[in-house]
Amino acid sequence: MNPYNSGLLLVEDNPNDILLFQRALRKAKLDIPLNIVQDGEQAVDYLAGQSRYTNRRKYPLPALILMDIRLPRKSGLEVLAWLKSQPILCRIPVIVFTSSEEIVDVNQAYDSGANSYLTKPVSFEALEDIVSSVKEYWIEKNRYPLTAS
Amino acid sequence: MSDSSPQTFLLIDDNPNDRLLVKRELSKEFDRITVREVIDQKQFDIALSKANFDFAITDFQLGWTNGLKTLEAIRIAKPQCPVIMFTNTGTQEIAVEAMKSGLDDYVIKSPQHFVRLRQAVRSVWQQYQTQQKATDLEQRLQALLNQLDVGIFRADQSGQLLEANEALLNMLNVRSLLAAKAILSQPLSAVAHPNEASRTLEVSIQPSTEQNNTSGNTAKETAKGKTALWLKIIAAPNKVNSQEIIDGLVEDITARKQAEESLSQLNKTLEAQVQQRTQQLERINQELELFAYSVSHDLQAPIRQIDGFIELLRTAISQPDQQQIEDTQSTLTENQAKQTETQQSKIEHYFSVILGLTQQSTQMIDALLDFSRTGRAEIVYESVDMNQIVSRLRSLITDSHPTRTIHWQVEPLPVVKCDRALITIVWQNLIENAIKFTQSKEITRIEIGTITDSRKDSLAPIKLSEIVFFVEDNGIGFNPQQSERIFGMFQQAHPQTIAKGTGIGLANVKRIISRHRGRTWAEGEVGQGATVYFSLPVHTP
Repeated sequence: MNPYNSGLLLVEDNPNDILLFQRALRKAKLDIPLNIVQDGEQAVDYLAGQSRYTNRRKYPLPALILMDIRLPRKSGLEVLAWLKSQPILCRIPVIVFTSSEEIVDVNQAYDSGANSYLTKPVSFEALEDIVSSVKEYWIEKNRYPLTAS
Repeated sequence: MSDSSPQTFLLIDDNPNDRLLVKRELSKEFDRITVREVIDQKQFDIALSKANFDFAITDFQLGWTNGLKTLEAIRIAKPQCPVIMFTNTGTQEIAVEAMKSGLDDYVIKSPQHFVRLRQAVRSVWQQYQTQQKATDLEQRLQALLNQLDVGIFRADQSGQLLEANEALLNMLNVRSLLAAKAILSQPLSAVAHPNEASRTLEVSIQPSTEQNNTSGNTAKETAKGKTALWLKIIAAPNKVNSQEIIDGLVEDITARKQAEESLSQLNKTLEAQVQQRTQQLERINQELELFAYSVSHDLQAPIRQIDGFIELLRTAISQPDQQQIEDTQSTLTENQAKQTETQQSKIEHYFSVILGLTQQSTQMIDALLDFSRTGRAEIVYESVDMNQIVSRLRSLITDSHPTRTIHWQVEPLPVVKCDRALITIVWQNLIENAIKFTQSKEITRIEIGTITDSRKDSLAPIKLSEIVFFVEDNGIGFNPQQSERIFGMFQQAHPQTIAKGTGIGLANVKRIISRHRGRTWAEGEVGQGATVYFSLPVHTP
């Protein structure tokens, strides 16, 4: 699976954070498909290809997931636990991306199967830096499993 | 009696020479003595009735009686008084018989035996003194122990009671040794270990309900008989005439045991109270931790975003001519619309976002302050007319939403004892929520009422001791699985794009109601509207 084809799924409820993240992607010149869902239930629906996300052409399985923990309807941890219990889907790496620096949240995220934990920085500059790092490591260096059925 | 020599002798002899002889012998041995001489029955009777002698010397052969009979009479009148027989007529058989009857000594009237009379009187007196002392001591000890209510007993090796003092019988509320034996046989067999040193045992026994006493103190005894008796038994092995026995003391420790019991009860109550307080504190601490965590986490979000938008604003202002590259693919209509915006309107948009974020921060801080106030504010109970509060809020809210079509259905509400200011916050939050979550509806329907109208059926069972209020709307509803979560701090059922909020409102409602000892819950379905319930106790503290 190639991230340049399958792209990134962003699970984030705050529209401002979505916009800022998109800007940071552009500044980092990371040009990959980006799909966005705004709550935990939508994330599950999207990944399971159910409800309004049955069209895999329009809503392809992502190579990588970037997800906040505090989400409406279903928390990020619940989505993580569900995902990691699914066959094949469980292979998709998940980066938890949240403003929480609580060690409890960090521990729970890894316990639930997170592959990485990044905190949202306060300054936009630092956000750009994080997106660059994600690009450099997760997009350019990391090897991805096969998840297409 | 405590003097070391006898003072008054009773001398029973009808021979004047013999009496003279005796008196001479006695005065050789003792100083300042009185000798009362008895020579006939009349004098003897007078002497016995006066009983003013402390030693008796009698002849055997008397004209009017014999020595055995006088001995018998003296023993009846003065049981302890030492008696010596001084005779020349008695036989050895008589001597033996007299000694058996309690005669202290026997001296032959013959010149070579006169000396022995003095010795006999002296040694009998000493013996008598010793015995008196022993009796005195024993009586004294017994009296003291009875006074102290200390039971004394003697038992055989197997723990069968042989002797018991009065105090022990009283303690057990029995009259006979046999009854005491029956009660104590079990505990005593437990302490009876002849080969060991003394043992102490504390036992509880059911006191006797024996009612065989004819005296008038039955009331006291039946009262005593109601509670279990606690005895402390101290038993020590002893040997009497090479016979292994158990000697021991019994103490009534019922009062001490009862005190201990009530003390331990008190301790338990205290422990339970401490535990309860600890749990309360732990819960408050947990709440506080969650609060601090939520505050740091959620207040940070708008501030972080302000930073991001200022950066975007700066870029837009410093590069006014540069055409922005299109945003990456996005599902958000907001972003799609922006792609076609001019640079100027983009700058304006950033400004308005930043402004909105600062307002959001302020709102959150205000809501937090309210929340912390409702937690601290003293609850002032007064009769509050809910109709009044609801109708005032209703007109306020209707005025501030002039473009909305709102159909109200408010049933008559009762007057309830509660804190007016805090309950107003509850109604305000619930009604504002109903307005907020129905903003997508053409016609907003809000129903307010009480469950006691029996018009409604809630899933939660209603208690008789409470009044249940509800606010129902026809808005976007929520997932029933979320029904508890929405009362949590900073928990929202919907993304900010659908309904803006601080995530504090319902948490505040829950806190106010639980401070009134009421309950809060909600029912709803996605797209089917929501009903929020709260209850207030009928009887307030």
